[in-house]
Amino acid sequence: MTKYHPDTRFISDFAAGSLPMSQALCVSAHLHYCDECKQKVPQLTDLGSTLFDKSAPMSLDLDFESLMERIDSLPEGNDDASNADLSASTQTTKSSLPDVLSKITNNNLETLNWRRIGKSFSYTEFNIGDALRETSLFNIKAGGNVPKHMHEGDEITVVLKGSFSDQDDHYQVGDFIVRTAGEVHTPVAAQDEDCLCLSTLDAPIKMTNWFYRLLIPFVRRTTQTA
Amino acid sequence: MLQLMQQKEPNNPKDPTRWNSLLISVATDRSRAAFQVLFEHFAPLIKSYAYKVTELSKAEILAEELAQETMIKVWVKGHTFDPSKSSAGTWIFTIARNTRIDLIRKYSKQWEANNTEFDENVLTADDIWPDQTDDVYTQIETSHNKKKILDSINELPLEQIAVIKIIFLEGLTHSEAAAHLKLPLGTIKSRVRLALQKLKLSIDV
Repeated sequence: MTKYHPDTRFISDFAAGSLPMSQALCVSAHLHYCDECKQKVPQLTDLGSTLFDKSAPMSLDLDFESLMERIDSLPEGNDDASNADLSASTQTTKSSLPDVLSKITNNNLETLNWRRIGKSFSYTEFNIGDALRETSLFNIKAGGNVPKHMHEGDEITVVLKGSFSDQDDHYQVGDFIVRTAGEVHTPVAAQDEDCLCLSTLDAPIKMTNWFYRLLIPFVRRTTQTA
Repeated sequence: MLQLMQQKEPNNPKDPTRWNSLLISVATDRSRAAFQVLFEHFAPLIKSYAYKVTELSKAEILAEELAQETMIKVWVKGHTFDPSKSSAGTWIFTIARNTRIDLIRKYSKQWEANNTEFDENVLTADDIWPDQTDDVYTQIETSHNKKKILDSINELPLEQIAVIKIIFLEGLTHSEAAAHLKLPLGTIKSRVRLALQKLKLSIDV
């Protein structure tokens, strides 16, 4: 049962389409597991759509005939491709990963380029075109922990498989956890199962113990992209 | 269909089902006449929607392309429109929203010096923002919702209307809105929450 949800700010910015790609990815992963939040999005889209209906139209350079010429010159079969996408997406269930993650990972977590830090923590990064944030999947082995670290920027984590705990609570599949700058925490995976999470980070995290040394490449890279 | 064609009122907010019939006719009969009516109504709104985005110089690059790309998708993807789940107006708005996201990403390479290289084809807005709501929501709810919004939007204080326009139409995030209006983030958040409560959307905020 999902306990931690994106707040109105995240859901609103998501529905409006302004949320940065990496954070939007986290919200959409949460929506895969949470019907309660999922039904908020179309309501907020209705609000956008109502404002859109009431906005002042602007005259176009494009005329209808030129548009139809462009359409007539499109290659055949365009419709079928979008169709296939849609039918594939209706078959997923809550027990599987969100579609978008299956797409990013090519449905094969094992072949991704995982980097290990310590005995039980590994991560793999994605470039989804958000220059200001780092997006990654991370895995904590059953019973293992993430090196104690402090955030210099906001971090969003969504649990995809298994569960983990920190000093505050226990987090399960679908939970959307926001950590703001300055918070220190040490996540520990549950004993019975590895914990897989999606995460996006605004700015580098600072390790507060000797693991920091091992993490220098990780931190340096985040500094460059931040 | 003929009757619909003769009814040449381009702006008839009282009858949103008219857009549904036109869109269905585009999808099933490939009716160019119906598509032209949709084009004449929606393309100028979509152009205006591009102009809502951040700076004017960016909007000028986007505007015509956004209108064109969105209308092409309306034609190509028309058969995926399901009138039991959404209204044509909302469906087209959603396509415009997703297309705007992708165009901004496409051009952001030119706009932002610090942009990293990436393959745009890896992810598109449609992967993250679904363009049709699924079974948790129906067309009945959407029209009910829009009616509630229209009934109460004019009763909102101006400061709340301004903020919801910036957030939901103009495409600024809460943080960008705070910077733009020179207000604390908390003030933006509370204005949005108050507005959503007054619009009586059935969501906990």
